[in-house]
Amino acid sequence: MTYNELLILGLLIHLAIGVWCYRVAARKERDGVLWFILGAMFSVFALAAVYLVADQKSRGGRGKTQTAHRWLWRGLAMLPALVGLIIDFSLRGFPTKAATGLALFAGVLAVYLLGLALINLILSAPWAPLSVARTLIDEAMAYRVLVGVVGVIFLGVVACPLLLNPEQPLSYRVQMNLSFSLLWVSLWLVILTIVLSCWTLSSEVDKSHVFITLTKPIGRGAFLMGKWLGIVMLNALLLAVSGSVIFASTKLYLAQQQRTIYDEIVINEQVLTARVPIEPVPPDGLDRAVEQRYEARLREKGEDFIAGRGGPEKFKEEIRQQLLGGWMSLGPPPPIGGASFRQEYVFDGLSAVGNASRTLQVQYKIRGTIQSDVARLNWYVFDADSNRYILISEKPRAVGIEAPLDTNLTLLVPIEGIDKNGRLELRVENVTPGNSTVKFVGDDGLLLYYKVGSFGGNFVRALMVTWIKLAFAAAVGLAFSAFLGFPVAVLCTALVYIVADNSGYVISAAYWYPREGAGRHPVKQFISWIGYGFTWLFRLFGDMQQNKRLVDGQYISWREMGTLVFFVGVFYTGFAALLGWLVFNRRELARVQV
Amino acid sequence: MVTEALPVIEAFGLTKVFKDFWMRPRITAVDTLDLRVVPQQVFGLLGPNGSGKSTTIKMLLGLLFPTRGKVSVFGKLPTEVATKQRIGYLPEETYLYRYLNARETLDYYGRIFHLDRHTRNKRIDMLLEMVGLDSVQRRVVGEYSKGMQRRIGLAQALINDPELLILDEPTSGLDPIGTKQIKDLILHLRERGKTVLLSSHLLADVEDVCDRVTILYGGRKRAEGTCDELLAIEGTRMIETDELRPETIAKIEKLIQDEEGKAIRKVEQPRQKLETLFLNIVHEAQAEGLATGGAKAGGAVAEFLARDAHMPEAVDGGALIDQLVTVDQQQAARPPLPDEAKAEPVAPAGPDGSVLDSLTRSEPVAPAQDEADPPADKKKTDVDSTVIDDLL
Repeated sequence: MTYNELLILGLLIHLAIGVWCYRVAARKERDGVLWFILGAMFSVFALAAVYLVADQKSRGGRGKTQTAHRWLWRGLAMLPALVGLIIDFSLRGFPTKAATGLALFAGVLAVYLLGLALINLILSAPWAPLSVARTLIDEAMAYRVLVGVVGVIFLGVVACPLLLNPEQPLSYRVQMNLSFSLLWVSLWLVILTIVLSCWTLSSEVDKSHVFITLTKPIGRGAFLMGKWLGIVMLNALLLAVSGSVIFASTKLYLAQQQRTIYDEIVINEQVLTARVPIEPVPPDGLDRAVEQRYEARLREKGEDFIAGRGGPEKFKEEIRQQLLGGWMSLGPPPPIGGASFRQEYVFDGLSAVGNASRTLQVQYKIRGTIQSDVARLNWYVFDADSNRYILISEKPRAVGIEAPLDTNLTLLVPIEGIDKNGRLELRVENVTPGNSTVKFVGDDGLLLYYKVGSFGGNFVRALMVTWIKLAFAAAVGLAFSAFLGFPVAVLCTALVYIVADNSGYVISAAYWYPREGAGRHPVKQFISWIGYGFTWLFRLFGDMQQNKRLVDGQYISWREMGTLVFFVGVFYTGFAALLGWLVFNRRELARVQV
Repeated sequence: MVTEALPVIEAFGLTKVFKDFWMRPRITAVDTLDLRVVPQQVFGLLGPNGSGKSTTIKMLLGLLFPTRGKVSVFGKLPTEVATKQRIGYLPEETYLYRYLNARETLDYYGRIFHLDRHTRNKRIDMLLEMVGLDSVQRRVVGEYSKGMQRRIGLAQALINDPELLILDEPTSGLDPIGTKQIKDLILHLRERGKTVLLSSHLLADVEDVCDRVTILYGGRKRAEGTCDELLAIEGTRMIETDELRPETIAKIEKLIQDEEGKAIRKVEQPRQKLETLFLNIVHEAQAEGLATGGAKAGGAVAEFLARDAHMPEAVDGGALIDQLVTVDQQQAARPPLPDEAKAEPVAPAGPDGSVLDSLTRSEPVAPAQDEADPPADKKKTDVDSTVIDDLL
């Protein structure tokens, strides 16, 4: 066994014993401490055995460096025991800030070491690309890149809670903490990936390392693949470490805060969860109403008018959107307005909700013709058993729930409102004072969220999405550095990544740019086509905003993951790698020296 | 029927023109060069700085692409992975990773050759000992002196037990011990059936080891042939003997005057080479046990390099050596065969004039060796491994 294998074994043994002891201690409340000590002793004994074997394995060398090497491995072999003890102590009733911090640090260290050992194990196979990958990681280690980035990420994530305003709602603070942390980690990993992918190849060529490596039996494509694999594995390690830090710090932050039951529900069912949204079922007779209005317009305006609106189908869709817009509007309340001040919305397909959560969440955003910035709405849920609408809010009916305009708002709805057919019916009343109309606006104007998975699983999938995107960035960086110098390659790679990740905004900008002002300028139109075409290629990349979705508690499905893996991980990345290989294969690696 | 050996390296009309940004020809580094290196040959590329030696080598390795002409190594394109499997290359400078130590460096290249862990570790141990870096194997290469970096560079070139070893200025930066060791190693490898392409502007290095030499200037071939062909001074003959009395010298001169009508131009006492003196001094210092912080003197040639080509690496080294010793002893014990008796050096004749007879006897002229054939009469077959062994 190698040291790495021994280290992994040691960690696994400790983990198993630690979990077992913790479970036993949880059952036997009074004797918990005793069991914990017993478990810790077992753990230390197991690791001591591992250490002895490791020590024995490291013998046989000569010189001071060999001695230092041996002591390093002694330290590493004992580290898991230390890490485990700190974690156990903090779990077993010493929840001080210092212990919590130590536990977090120890956990991160354990993940880092375990990940590093695993990577070394994977890369120990005698396959040329793996050797190249391993050397890249060695380089990152030698130049302290790895430790530096881990340190910066750790400090940033740990410092995030200090920036939060304790006056704000707990759920908001948790969201902000998560959002800042993910942004911080993504930023550093993107920078690292772009710089490293461009640096590693251009420096190999500049320093002529390739003279030796590429005169060995390794093709240039395999060499590039090795570089890419190294960066991808490094990213996996850093994401695992960062993910551990973020996950643990979020949980620990939450554990340290005073919470009400309402906070608990909101955090668990709205933030630290995985939900999917559904839209209300369009009203009955919508299609018939569309047809009637279309026929009326046709008779009134003629076929030329229809053709001018893009043809029958487009015009029907326009009418449909108009009708839906009216359906999503609530008129002024009585006595000024009529019956349209209230509207019923039905959500279907909720049979699978089950008892996974206690609430559903209505997310809405409104605009209105009102004098103040705040509308007031009453929300009811239809109870099939009593055949009546039940007010959701505890507040008096006449006042309603405050609803600031142009803001994403959330309302908790009890799951008891779902009938046996998996349908939920909501009634909304506009009780805003004055002659005011309000309207649910945008694609996310009125959505109902329900839980379909856990936060942990969603968190892992979000990290995987980030990983796939970084893998693409690494391939682009390598492709550019196959023929460009380091600074230019970095700039080009950063440009591609930024455009790809923001393709949604860029596509929108490219659409509106030539339409500004009177008439369409041909140059603007040309630029728009270029921008639109380029960003259109990356729209899948930009559509998946994994961090935002995670923070909003939105489910990232395996189906979406599969699509992303195919298009970004295989197609885009493969295309970039292919271009890089074609260029690198034709490149002369030596320069004039006569 | 004798089958002509397939050349290891073959180049026809090899030309390399470096162009500027606008693709205008700027420098012709190599100009219509023809090369043919046969197996088991130590081939020297000789030339001043900027004569195109390194450019030629880089084209042979696929690091540069020829502008015109064709080049093949082992009958294939140099860029093919299968070709590179059989090559070892020491570049003109050390382009190794500065952050890896010697052992990690060799391990990295060993992995690229798909060597399994056991073979890799065994070869690394042997190579580190051979190049004298075993005691500093955990220091990163960036901390090595230039000579030590050349040594580890040489070790990496040998990790795959190459059939073709390409050495670009191999003795650059090395002390005389290292230089001597590399020259011995080259001869040793040739003895074992390897082919070596040596590029250098150090004439003594090339002269000592090369069977065949090409001299380049301005990217063009100016001369090619064996060292004897190129260096022989026509119309001159040198005789070397033990110390002679002045009367004997006078007699010899008279004899030459009588027989040939010529006179002795110069009679002098030869000096030992500075290299030999230096090696002796280092040898004595090491015998006295003086410490050094740098590389040790190298060890014997690594066992896997000393094997015959047909010998599997799995063969136990100790048993093999025992077997060889036994065979040697048996050969020493048996009476000489008639052919071997003929090959015995001629014993000094008595004072009856037979010495002069033998000196005046015309020597048979060796037939010119076909350049395609493996060199039959290696002029340096007596590899001086005693230097290495003594220094240890």
